[in-house]
Formats: sequence, structure tokens, C-alpha cells
Amino acid sequence: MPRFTHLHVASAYSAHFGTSQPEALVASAVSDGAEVAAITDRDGLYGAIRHVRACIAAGIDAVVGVDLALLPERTRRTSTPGRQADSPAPPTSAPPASAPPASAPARITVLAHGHNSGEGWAALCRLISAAHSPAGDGMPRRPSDVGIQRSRPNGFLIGESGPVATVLLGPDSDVAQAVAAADLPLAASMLAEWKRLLPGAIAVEVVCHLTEPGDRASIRHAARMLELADSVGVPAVLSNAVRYLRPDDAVTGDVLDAADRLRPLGAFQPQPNAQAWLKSAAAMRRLAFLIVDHSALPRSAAEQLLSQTERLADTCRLDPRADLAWRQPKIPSHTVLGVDGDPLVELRRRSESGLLERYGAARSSELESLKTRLDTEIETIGRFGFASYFLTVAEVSALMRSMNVRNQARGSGAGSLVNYLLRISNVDPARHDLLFERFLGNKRSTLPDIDIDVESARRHDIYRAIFERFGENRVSLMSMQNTYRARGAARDAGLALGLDDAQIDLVATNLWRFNARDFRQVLSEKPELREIAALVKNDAQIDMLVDLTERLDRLPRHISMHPCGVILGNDGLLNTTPVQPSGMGLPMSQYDKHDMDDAGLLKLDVLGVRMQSTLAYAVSEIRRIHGRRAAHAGGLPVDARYVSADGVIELDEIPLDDEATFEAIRTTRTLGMFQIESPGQRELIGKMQPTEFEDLIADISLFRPGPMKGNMVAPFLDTKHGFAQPQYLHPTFRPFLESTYGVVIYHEQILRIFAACMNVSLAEGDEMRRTIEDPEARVEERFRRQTAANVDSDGARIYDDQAIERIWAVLKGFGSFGFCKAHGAAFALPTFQSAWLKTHYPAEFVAALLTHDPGMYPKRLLLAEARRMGVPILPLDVSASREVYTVERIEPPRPQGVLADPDDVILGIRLSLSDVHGITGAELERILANQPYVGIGDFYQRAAPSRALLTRLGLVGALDSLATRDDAAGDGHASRGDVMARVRELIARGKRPATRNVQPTLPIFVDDREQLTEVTSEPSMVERVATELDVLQMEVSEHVIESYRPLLDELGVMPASELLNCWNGTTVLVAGIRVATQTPPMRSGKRVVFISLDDGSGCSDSTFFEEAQDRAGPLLFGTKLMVIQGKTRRTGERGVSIEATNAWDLKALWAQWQQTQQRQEREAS
Amino acid sequence: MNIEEPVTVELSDDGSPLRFEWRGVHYGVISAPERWFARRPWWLLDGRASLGTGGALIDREMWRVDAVPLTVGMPRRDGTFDLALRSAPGEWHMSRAFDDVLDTQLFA
Repeated sequence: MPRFTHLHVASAYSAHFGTSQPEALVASAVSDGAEVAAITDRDGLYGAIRHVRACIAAGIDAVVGVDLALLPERTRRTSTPGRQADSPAPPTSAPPASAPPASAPARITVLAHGHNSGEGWAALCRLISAAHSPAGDGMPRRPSDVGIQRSRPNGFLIGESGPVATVLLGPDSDVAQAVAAADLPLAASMLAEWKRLLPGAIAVEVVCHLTEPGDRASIRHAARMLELADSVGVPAVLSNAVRYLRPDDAVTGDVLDAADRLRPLGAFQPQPNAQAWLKSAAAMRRLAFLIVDHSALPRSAAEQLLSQTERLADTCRLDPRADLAWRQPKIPSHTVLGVDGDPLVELRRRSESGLLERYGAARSSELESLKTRLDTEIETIGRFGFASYFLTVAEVSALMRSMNVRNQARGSGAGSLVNYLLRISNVDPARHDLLFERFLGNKRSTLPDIDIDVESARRHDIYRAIFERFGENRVSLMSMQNTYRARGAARDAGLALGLDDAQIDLVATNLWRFNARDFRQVLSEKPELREIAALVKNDAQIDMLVDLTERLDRLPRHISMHPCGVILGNDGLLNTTPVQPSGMGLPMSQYDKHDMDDAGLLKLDVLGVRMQSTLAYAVSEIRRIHGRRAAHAGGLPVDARYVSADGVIELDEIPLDDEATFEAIRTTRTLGMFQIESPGQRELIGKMQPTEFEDLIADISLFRPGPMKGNMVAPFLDTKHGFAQPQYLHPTFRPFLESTYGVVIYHEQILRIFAACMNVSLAEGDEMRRTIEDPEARVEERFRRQTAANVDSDGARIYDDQAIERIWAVLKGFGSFGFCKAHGAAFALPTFQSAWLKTHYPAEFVAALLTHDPGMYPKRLLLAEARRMGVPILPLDVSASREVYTVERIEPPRPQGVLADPDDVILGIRLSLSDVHGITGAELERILANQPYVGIGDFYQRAAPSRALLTRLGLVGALDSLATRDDAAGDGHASRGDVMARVRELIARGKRPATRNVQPTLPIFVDDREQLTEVTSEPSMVERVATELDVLQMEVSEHVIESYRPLLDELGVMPASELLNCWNGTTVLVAGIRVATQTPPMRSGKRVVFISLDDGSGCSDSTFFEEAQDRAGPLLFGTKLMVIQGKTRRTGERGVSIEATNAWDLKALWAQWQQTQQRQEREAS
Repeated sequence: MNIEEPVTVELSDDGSPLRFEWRGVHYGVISAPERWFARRPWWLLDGRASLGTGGALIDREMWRVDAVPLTVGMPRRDGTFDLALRSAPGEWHMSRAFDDVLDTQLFA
């Protein structure tokens, strides 16, 4: 069977169009005997790298192209607003629902030629970038504006030595539209024009989808296209304009069309039929003859059509190495970094000077071993030629420091001494026994990952600075593909079926963390889906919804900026990847993280971490409030070297053995502490009772699925607390297992075990670790042989057979459990820093938490925590509140003439205006710019808030200070009701007094006073809380749960703070507002749901096992206010959790209870 | 004009319609029959759309033919017809007929 190459194939990476993964398409082509496979996704190369990778793996050649919209030559819209005003358009009725889109834009396909040293690929990349080039404001084009004018490809595709790509004019082209409209002369002149514009780079793509005779891609239409190519003298190729792999996928295509148009099926013109699949070579040959038989051409034209197709395929075969520089690193040249000469020499020079800065106080023996280690690292880096890479990362890190942005390397990079010396990382690798070999071994061929955490609030500034420093031609943001998950899939499937919003919501909100493709299966398994399962039985549309949801699973939906990836490339970056504007305006590559290694691109993860912003903000508040008294205020030694004279705390230098901090951690009141605030972590911290930094590293490393399943936690805790003796597997392991009480937790320890047993280098040890599960590496055999052969100076074996068995058992079982210690250590640093700040500067730290919101809990819980620590919350006040939460001094009243004692001052937290519901950026700016205010009228005038905002501010008391400012009549205190009366009066005036006519110094507050004399009552506490929740989305005055107090008291609900006083196994009721829901990994593998409720006194953590989940049903994930019944379970000295037996919706209980109350009252009277 | 009535169709060797009988009238195909695929509004029909069932859900195989009545006594009228293959083998529908005059004759 002669081969046939499909040259026009959309994969699932044509978002909302294609349905099949590139790998599946390639596999199918190969099984049909293809030697070449093409991918031509819409608007970009989103799936191209995957496609090339799949082709290489299958041993065939790849062709890559793009399917682009053809834009009209003049992009300016001609309608002018003036003319419209002159001649009002007649009232137009909406077009009928089934009308086809007015004019679907024409589309063309562009295929890169191969074996031309990447010229074709570069042209394709640049053409695509041009098709996305930003709109006037630098922002992304609207989807309908992505494309290219007919006159533009010439400049990209015709190289000095001829064409480097071919444009296919298929059934969607302007030529084909003219043919379908039966305007053959127009079609012929259009084709001739294309031929003139792109000599030798044009082909007619004949497609027959067996549509209705006469329509585009019908037999007739295909025959006319073929005749046209023949008469104008343009080569013709056959394709099936493939959109999906199998006919079955066409249904998925229908659903995607609906999602793309945001209209239900039946309300738009759907695809004509299900023929756009990857047909076999035999079927395509039959089509070729069918078309020719319906044309005026001789039968030989069919063979010619097929052979021309293959000829073009051959021209487009890519050579991954020569055309794409496949897997070859493309990093900024050292000259861009300002380094002349050998970058390795420069790297060594900088590292050595870092040695003095970082280890100035070290003993000379220590310094010697550090130098040896540095030599090894530099030697390895040099061998791989990665010196420029390290210098590049150091440059970025230095750039951040120069901008005064906190940054911290995460991941295995923290294991490198060079990274520490270059200040890329701030964790001392020598002190914590972190290994370079885990980061960069002997065999790596791709660039190692260095990830840097930065302040989230400054992330965009950093990106812009990197673009500026390295140049737009060498830098791009990385993108990510957002794929359908269960909820989104259900929503779009519901939209396609035309279900109403309530039905869609009912289904979507109950879907919780499972793969959409398992929807039908989990329906019968998950208690929270019971209601939906019942619906499915009775409602055919919901039944269908389940099928369609499964179909959408994991299909790409849209591309967006990756949260942290920045690509740093060489001068040819834009010949390697197409770019398009990201949401923030900076160019973004069309490749995602899975493409980086193969495309040879260096991705630097610059991850915005809210905790880093929180830390930075807390430090700045400490300086602002305390200045040179900062050390004293935090209870630190006055000569602490990490506090500057003017009160700046150098967080990366604080002592990591601060006992007060560990004491605070051990209380498990870890709210706000990085990584250790979740209910599960609180439980683990309670059990572990950490006493040193190494414990925090272990804690973070243990709190993951592997160690939980592998039961590594219990032996660790038992040994730490002295209930068991440490078991060191072998006495020689003691030095490196001591810090984890004999338990093997870290990859680094595995490396050391291999090195000790087998007498190999740490790098070889890492190689063994990486390949331990690969049968071809025969790690076990080598381990047993070399360990048995390991003898001491007397020739005696160091490890006997028993020891080898024992050690191997641990190594083998370790595969999925281990954690890179460098990673844990890098995480533990901000954990400790946040705990330290919370301990020494609670008000400043909580203000920072409230401002940057780094954690998992709602702000109301942070407010409760502040109160618990004795930090007052100061109400919202338009004269004092800022766009952030600020710390304020509250001075106690004192007799006249007595000077304030600074130690008497209490610190409070002033609420921020930015959390007021519905406030706009402009309003916020005006309020801040005009502070302070002398009266409500003054505020209304100068800050010019909307009426709704003024009302809301009045309701939460933000105007109270203005009303009481003047020593008013009566008791001098205006009630909230008075304030609101004044607000209503101002609003009712209709027109705001013009600002320019009013002097701000006018005693406007006098007016206020006069108008505040109406006596109205204060709102009740319940009303006040309800208002605050409404306006601020958190309550300041009182906890929301207090409104239900009479019921809770009658039920005998226990406050969370009292749970610790209960005996183990006491049956209790708790209530509160849900603050967290988690389904963490469990040892048994069964699903367990943790629900944390906050009731104002604290937080209770309930565990729902299967039976309880079954009882709770839809309450599990859907209810905010809950009552939970269960048995207490002590989880350590300071830990208690509840094993839930049942749960209720508090609001429903309340309604029932009130009814009962009312009935009883009626009966009583 | 949409018709959707059962018809009896006689096929040629390659499986394309040769003659058919509709409302008691025999027709002979006088053009090269053109095969094509129309689509169904599968979302309105009862049933499911699980993975693996979809191709048949959408595609409806049709043959477009030009035909003339062979039955004696009928006025000779050229018409164009879409004959649709039903899911059961050998069963056909007269899906559509295109001819203004025919329309008035049949349904006046």
C-alpha cells in the first residue's frame, strides 16, 4: 500500500477545536504505515514540541505547520460614530439563532520546510508571532483578531534562496469560499494573486468531507478546487483537514464548538458531519479517485494529486537536530552578562569571594573542606558547560536584591554551595548536609532547575526588570495549558446541552477532585454525589451531561501565563518559539514546561510567594512603627546583629535556634506560619514538638503521601521522644542518620548510604537512586556485589549478608517516599522566619498576613488569632485606614503633663479599606489622597465615593470617627443610626457639592453635628455582624456563629477552645463556619475528609471516614455553617481532633428550631 | 422539501441507488449518484453519548440522485432526491425532494 501523509491535522492543542492528543494522532498514523506525520494546530505551535517528540519516539519524520486566520487587508473598522449619529440605524432584530456566523474568517495553513538549518522553523515562529502581535495597547488581541493579512506571509516565507515554507489553500481559504459561492472567475484571480505573492510557496489543498453536494468540502467542491489548481498552474495536494482521530470524537468536537461560541447546540451552525477524522491511506486514495471522477480531469490526476502530496511532505520533513537544535541548551551568551573571557573563571572568582562573605568566621579546617567542595562543584559545572547558566541565575538574583525584593531559591538548587555563595540560595548547605550531587550529578544532559521564590506582590516588577536587563529578543514568559477538569467540563457540557444555570450549578459545585473521565464511575461511589446520581437516573439530559463531561476531560481549554516560568534564551529565541502577549502584556512563549528540555530552553521559575510578601511587609511595619527601638520592641537583645540601627531586620540572618520561636510552634497555634498551619500539620507538629531547625525540615519532608503511607512518622516520633532507641541500619550510617533519629527520610541520605556501602562517589550514588526501579540499571545486583566486596583495612567485610538484606529492603521501599532535603530546608527557612515574626512581633506579623493573605484560612480567623494574642482590631475609619492593614499605637490615657512610657503602648491593627466590598481602585486612591477628613459631608465631597460605597462605609462604622469628632450636643456621641441618617440625607441631595467651590478648612463638621441630632438607636450586635460580613466579607465585632448562640447553648455545643480539656473518646458537638476542607493522602489509600470549623474561640478539626462521609452526604463540600458530632481523639500533648459521626447544616437546624420555638410560644399563649 | 418517508431502493453493483419506488411510483436514477453525509441533532435524541458511540450519532449517509418517473401515465418530471440509508440494512428513507413543480403536485 502506498503511503499517504496527512498534512493538515489539528490536535487537542487547537483549543476548543481539536479533540485528540498529538501522541495519539502520531501513533495512529504510524500504525497505518505513515513515514511522516504533520501537526498544524490553530494559531500556534502549542502542540508542536510534543508532536516532534512523539515522531522521534516512533521513528518517523515530523512536519509542523500552523492554521491561521486570514485577516482583511485593512484592519481599521470603517464605521464612524459621527455618521451613525446622523442617520440612526433602523432597529435591528437579533439574527435568528440558527444563522451562520456573518462571515467566518478565511483560514490558511502554513507548513515549514525542513532540512534548511532551521530557516523554515524560524519563519514559522516569526509568522505566528506576527499573527499575535499585540493590539495598540500592548495587550493580547481578541481571539477573532488573531491572524495575518494576505500580503504578510511573503516577508517571512520567501528566504534568500527561495521559499522556506508552503501555504496551503484549503476548504476554509478565501479561494475555496469563492468556489463554494460558484464564483469561479473570482476564485481563479484570487489563486493567481496568491501565486504572485508567494512564488513556489503555494499549494491548493483539496479536501472532501463528503458534505452536502455543492458545499465546501463536498465532492463537487473538491473537484472544482482541483480543476482550479490545474488551470492556474498551482500544485494541488490532498488532505482531510483532520480535526479528530476517530469519527466518534466528532461529538466531542460539537461540544467544543458550543463552548467556543458560548451557545448551546442547535443555536449555531455546527460542523457539517463527522468526516474530519484521520482516515487511512486506503480511504484517502479512494477519495482521490472519487474527486477526480467528479472532475473534468483525466484519471491520472488522482495519482498526481497523491504523489504531489507526498512530495510536499518530503520537503517539509524536519531534522530535529539541524532545524530545531533539539535538546541543545540555548542560554544567554556570557557577553550579555558583561563577562569577558571564560565564564567558568568568572564563576570561580565570584564563588571564592562569596566564601569569605558567607563563612568569614569559619575555622580553617572547615574552610578547607568548603574549598574542596567548591572545587568539585566548579569542576562539574565546567564539565557540562553550565557556567553561563549559573552566572545568569546569579544575575537575576542580584537584580532582585538590587530592587530590594526578598528572594529564596527552592528545590534541589539549595544543595549547591555555589548557589549559596552567589546568594541565589540562603540555606547553608554545609550546615544542613545538603548535597550538590543531588542537584547536578554526572550524567545530566539538560539544564538543572533553579527555582526562586520572590515576593508575590513584586513578581511583575521583577519580570519587567528581567526583560529590560536581558532584552526582549532573549526573554519570554513561559505559558501553561489550562485543561478541562471535572467542574469546568461539567459546566461547558451543560452549556452545550442548554441546561439552565441552576441545574449546571447543582452538578458543578458538587464535583470535587476527581478526573472528569471517571464521572460515571464515581457517581455510585461518592456520598456527596448521591443527589446527582438520582438525577441521572431520572433525567436523560443529566445522563447525557455525564457522558459529555467525561469526553472533555483534560482537553486544553486555553493558554495562559505560567505562574512563575521565565525563559532566558540566546539571541535566536524568537526563531525557536513563537510568542504572544500575556495577560500582563509581556510576550509569552507558546511552549509550556513540558516542552522546555526538548526545545533546549532554560526556564527560571520565579515564583511569587505571598508569604515572602508577608515577611517583607512585616519587616517594613516593624521599622515604620519602632525605628531604632525595633529590637527592644521585639524582646530581642539590643545589640542583635541582624537588626540595623534604624530598625531593619535582616530576616535571612536571624538565629535559627531561637527558643521562644520553637516554644510558640510547639503550642500548635501555628496559624499564619508557612507550611505548618493546616489541620494535618498542626496535628503532626503537636506530636513532634519540634525543638530545632532540623526538626522543621523533617516535619515538612514527612508531611507527604509517601512517608504517611510508609509509616516513617511513628518511628521518627517514638525515637525523638525517647520511647525507642534509634535504629541506624548500620553503625557506619550514624553520622548522617542521627539528625532524623535513624529514620531514612531524605534523598541525600540514600546517596550517602550508596556511597558508604559501595565505595562510590555521591554522584554515582545519585545515579543509583534515580535508576533504582529501572530493571535495566540492575541496581540491586550491583549494590549486593559491591557492598559485599567492601572491606576494611584488615580485609574484613564491613557489611555482612544480614546487613545487606536489611539495607536493601529500606532502599527498595524508599522509591516514592524520599524527599530532597535541600527542598525541605529551603521551605523550612520561611517557616521559621514566619514563626519568629509571629512570636516576636505579633501585631506587625498579623497585619502583614491580613494584607498579603498568604495562607489557607479566611481573614476572620486571622482576626480571631490577633484577638487571642491580645492585639486589638481597630475599626475601619476613612480618616485612618489605608489600602493595607497597618499597625497603630494605642496609647493608654494618662494625666496631663505625664510623658508617655513607650512600653505602655499597645499595638493594634487598623482594618484596610481594600477589603470593602465593591470599592474601586479610583475611589480608594481618592480616599487615601484626601485623608484626613473633618466630617461626613467633607468626606463625601472630597473623596467622592459612590453612593453605594458611602452607605456601606457608614454601615460598618468607617464614618463614626467623623461624626464624633466635634464635641457634639448631648452625650457627645453620635449613634450609628445618626450617621446613617446623615448619609441618607447627603445621598438624597442628588447633586454632590462641587469640590472646587469649597475650602476644605470650612467647619463642615458643624453641619454634620447639627444634622446628627436625630436620635436613632445603635444597631444590635447581630445586625452589625451581618453588615460587616456583607461589606468586608469578614466580621470584626463578633463572630458570625454568635447569632446562633441560643440554639448552640440548647444543643450543648462545645467551644473549640475547650476540646483539649475533654477525655479521649468523649462524644461532643462542635459548630462553626468552615475554614478549610482537605482530602489529604492517607496510609490506607481510602479517602478521608478533614473539615475545620472556626467558632471564634478557635478551630476544631474533624475527620470524616467513609461511614461518616456517607451520612454527611452533600453537606461534605457544600455547606458553610455546620454542626458536627463526633468523638474526641487526642493526637499528642497539645493536639485533639474529632472523629466525626454525623453533621448537620446549622442554618437548617436554626430554621427548624425557630419554628419549634414559635409553635411552643403560640401554644403557651 | 423534507419528506422522511420509507422508500424501496434498488441498488447497482457498487451499492449506489439505481431505481426506487415512492408513493407507488417507480423512478429511475439518471445521474451519477453522489454520496454524502448529513448530520443528526444527537443531543435531542434519546440515549447516551459515551466515548466510542459518537460517529454513528452524527453521520447520516445520503445519496443525492436525479431521477425521472418510470411509471406510465405520470407526467415526466426531472427531480432531485436525497435518499437516506437507515440504520437497519436495506431500509431507506426518502429524505428530501427538490423541485418546485413536484412540490405542488405532491402536496397541493
